[in-house]
Amino acid sequence: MTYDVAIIGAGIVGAACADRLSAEGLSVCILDSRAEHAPATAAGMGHIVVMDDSEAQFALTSYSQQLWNELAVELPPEAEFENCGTLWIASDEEEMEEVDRKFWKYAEIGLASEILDERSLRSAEPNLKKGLSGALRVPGDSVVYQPVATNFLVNRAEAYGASVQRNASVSMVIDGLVETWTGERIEAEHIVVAAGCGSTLLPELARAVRPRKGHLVITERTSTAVNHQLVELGYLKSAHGTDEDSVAFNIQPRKTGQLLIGSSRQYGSNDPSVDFEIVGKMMKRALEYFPSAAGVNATRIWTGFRPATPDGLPYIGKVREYDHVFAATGHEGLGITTSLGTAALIADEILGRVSAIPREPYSPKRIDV
Amino acid sequence: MADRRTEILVIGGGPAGLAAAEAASSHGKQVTVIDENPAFGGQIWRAEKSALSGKAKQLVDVLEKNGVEMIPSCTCVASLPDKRILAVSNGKSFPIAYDKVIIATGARERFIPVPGWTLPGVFGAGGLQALVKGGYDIGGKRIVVAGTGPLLLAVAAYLKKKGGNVLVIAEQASAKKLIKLGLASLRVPGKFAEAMKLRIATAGIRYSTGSVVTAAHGSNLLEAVAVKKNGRTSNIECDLLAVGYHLTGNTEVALLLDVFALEGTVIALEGQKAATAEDFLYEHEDIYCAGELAGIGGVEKSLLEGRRAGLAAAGVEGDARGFAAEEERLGRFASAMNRTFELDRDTLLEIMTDDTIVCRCEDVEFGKIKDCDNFIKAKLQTRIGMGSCQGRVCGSACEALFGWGTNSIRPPIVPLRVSELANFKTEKD
Ligand SMILES: Cc1cc2nc3c(=O)[nH]c(=O)nc-3n(C[C@H](O)[C@H](O)[C@H](O)COP(=O)(O)OP(=O)(O)OC[C@H]3O[C@@H](n4cnc5c(N)ncnc54)[C@H](O)[C@@H]3O)c2cc1C
Ligand SMILES: Cc1cc2nc3c(=O)[nH]c(=O)nc-3n(C[C@H](O)[C@H](O)[C@H](O)COP(=O)(O)OP(=O)(O)OC[C@H]3O[C@@H](n4cnc5c(N)ncnc54)[C@H](O)[C@@H]3O)c2cc1C
Repeated sequence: MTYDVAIIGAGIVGAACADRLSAEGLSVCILDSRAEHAPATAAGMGHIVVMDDSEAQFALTSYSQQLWNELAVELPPEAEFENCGTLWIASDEEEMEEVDRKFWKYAEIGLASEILDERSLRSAEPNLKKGLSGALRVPGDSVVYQPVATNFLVNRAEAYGASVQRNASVSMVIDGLVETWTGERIEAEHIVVAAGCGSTLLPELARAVRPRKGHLVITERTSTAVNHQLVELGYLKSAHGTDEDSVAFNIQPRKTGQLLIGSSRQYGSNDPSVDFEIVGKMMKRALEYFPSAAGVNATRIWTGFRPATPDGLPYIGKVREYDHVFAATGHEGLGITTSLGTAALIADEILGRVSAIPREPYSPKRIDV
Repeated sequence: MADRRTEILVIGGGPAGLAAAEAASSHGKQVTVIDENPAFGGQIWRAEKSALSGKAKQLVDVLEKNGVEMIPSCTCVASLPDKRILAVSNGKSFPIAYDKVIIATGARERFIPVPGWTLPGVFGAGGLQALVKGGYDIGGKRIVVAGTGPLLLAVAAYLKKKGGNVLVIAEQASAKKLIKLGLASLRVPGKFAEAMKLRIATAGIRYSTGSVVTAAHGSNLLEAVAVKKNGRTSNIECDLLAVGYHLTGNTEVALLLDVFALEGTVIALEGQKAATAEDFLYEHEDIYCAGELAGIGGVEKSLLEGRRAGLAAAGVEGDARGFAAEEERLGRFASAMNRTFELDRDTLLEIMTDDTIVCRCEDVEFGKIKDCDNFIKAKLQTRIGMGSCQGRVCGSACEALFGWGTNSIRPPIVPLRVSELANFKTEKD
């Protein structure tokens, strides 16, 4: 048979696309080379967050946040969706100015946020270090346990009639046809490449999508309270935006009482093993903001690779040189958040509709070849 | 500060590790032995009253004379690049660099959940033994010892000696299998004597073969256990249940160092059983495995393998080869034993109910995982194995119940304070 759409990759991005497209009544086939556990999705943090490093990022993240809130009511409790909000923490006056800028920026599109001064920050998060300048509270942000959410999306797509093929590693894509390493061929009118770091299987994406390594540390269950996802604003001044190795303070309260502590960014490594030097820097940074974590036991450390692009924006849409091959990849550190927005944009493009936000900024046509 | 550095690092100071250290240090090598326990000696020699005796003392005396560095209460928690491990001792972490490493981390008891096992009064068999060694009073308590394996006899004998009223040993293996093993042990005189001694010590205790505990009953405390034999179930009233299903290797350190393991045993990559010494060297240069983690087989096997690994690591090739006959004999016994005490998956699955807790750290019930295809899926969807014990209990239980491999490990293999991670330093700093 010929499917309407073949999706390569069953990580959160592929899963969201499959769910969306099959809900629209299209016949969908999802192929994934693994039996289980999409690598970036399994490794990520599940912070659903609005970010405004660029206008396009702001549009996609805020649109996606809205879609998550709609999906939330349908997620099973094991998805641990929690609307805990984000605190962007300012450690000095310069960063307070950034808080101010963000506040007005968010207000422009009607996104609620609140400026906390030193005192109200302390009452919101008593375990943070004393003497921080303040924070921006974004109450609409959430956290989700993304492996369960992803599984939910795949299962729902299946219930709509999608076919899921595991252990199907795609070797080649041309218009109308996907071929696996074992020589199996799947015909589909549209093909969506949502293969995360593996999206380089498409020659056009081969040099554009690069893995960017990250580390996370999870603790035992603790009574040390964290009420919001806490993120430092200082990352703007650190090397997080560049090619250098960098760490930034980021802590996520889990429903289980555990703390998930991040994060690091490293290019140029494809070794998944834990780098204790980077972890050491990460923990030092975390303790600078959150000294009460010092005595908490870390139970596991792991790494993951974010599919990164040179300009920090994902590739969503038709790929040059093809008529019906689409990219849905390159979401770097925001793919859990932006998976839902991405799926909506892909569905709109395939079905020839206008989207809620402009699609142009994410088009892979911007890739230099 | 410069990293600690040693020619030969031995991880685990049980019979295997001590024998390895003796062999290597006696050939002039600089050796460091670490053990996570405050006392050396491993599961069997770790003395009740701190003083080592007999063979253990003899070995430790030689190590002292040879200037072997012994670090107690020191756990290997992670592997680092450039042939180093990350060790933690008394809350402080530090790297240890080595030229060769011998992994002799031994085995632990395998625990398989039964309905009701989370009731107070239910213990792992070895766990209860350790508690009693630590001073827990069982005087007059009615105890059922259950599960499978030779350890049950040892535990029952010990509990009886300490004043426990051991009602029955419920052994899963059939009488037929046990008789066969009895014959096999005739070829290993030491083993046979040991088995007889235990049998005598446990005389007066009913040894019920082909018997499986199917549930633990009680409202707030254990009150009775259900035992099934020949299709009939009877309830035995008791105060304590000591249950253990043979042993499974502590493969965590081996996995950290990228040594492949299956069903609780390290194996060489081509699929053959872990060879200590040379066969193993072929795939993993400079890494040796010895003792129970390379196959459950008792103290003589651990001593022999330890010695062999120690010699090979010291580069004394000729000596290392002289063990073939002895090894073959012990190996034969080990496989006969492990066949005898193999778990019958269908029997175990039959016992489980949907609300039986499999993972205690994360409160995961059997019903939630039974339809998963593998451990990784179960882990990601239900958090099984993600708690503080990192799947040490539920991982091997799932292996027994579903045949799921759990061939991955995340550092640190024991919890480590955030402040310790923050302090991480290495030579390069
Ligand atoms: C440490 C860390 C923290 C993060 N924190 C957050 C966060 O807080 N919030 C947030 O929004 N995002 C976060 N992210 C980012 C997020 O995890 C990723 O952007 C997202 O998971 C990418 O999803 P994906 O579906 O594109 O990729 P993946 O999850 O990697 O899925 C791709 C799938 O494609 C399959 N595949 C690859 N090649 C082939 C092939 N040839 N044939 C068939 N199938 C193939 C793979 O098997 C895989 O299953 C984090 C990432 C990391 C690493
Ligand atoms: C609970 C239990 C009770 C037993 N009781 C008996 C008995 O009564 N009689 C009998 O004949 N046999 C008994 N055995 C079997 C016994 O283990 C073997 O006969 C023999 O002791 C195995 O020697 P080994 O050196 O291979 O392992 P072990 O004796 O287990 O020694 C391994 C050592 O490695 C250390 N270690 C493990 N991981 C790390 C790490 N990450 N870092 C640092 N150190 C580490 C452990 O603390 C341990 O001391 C028992 C086994 C168990 C599990």
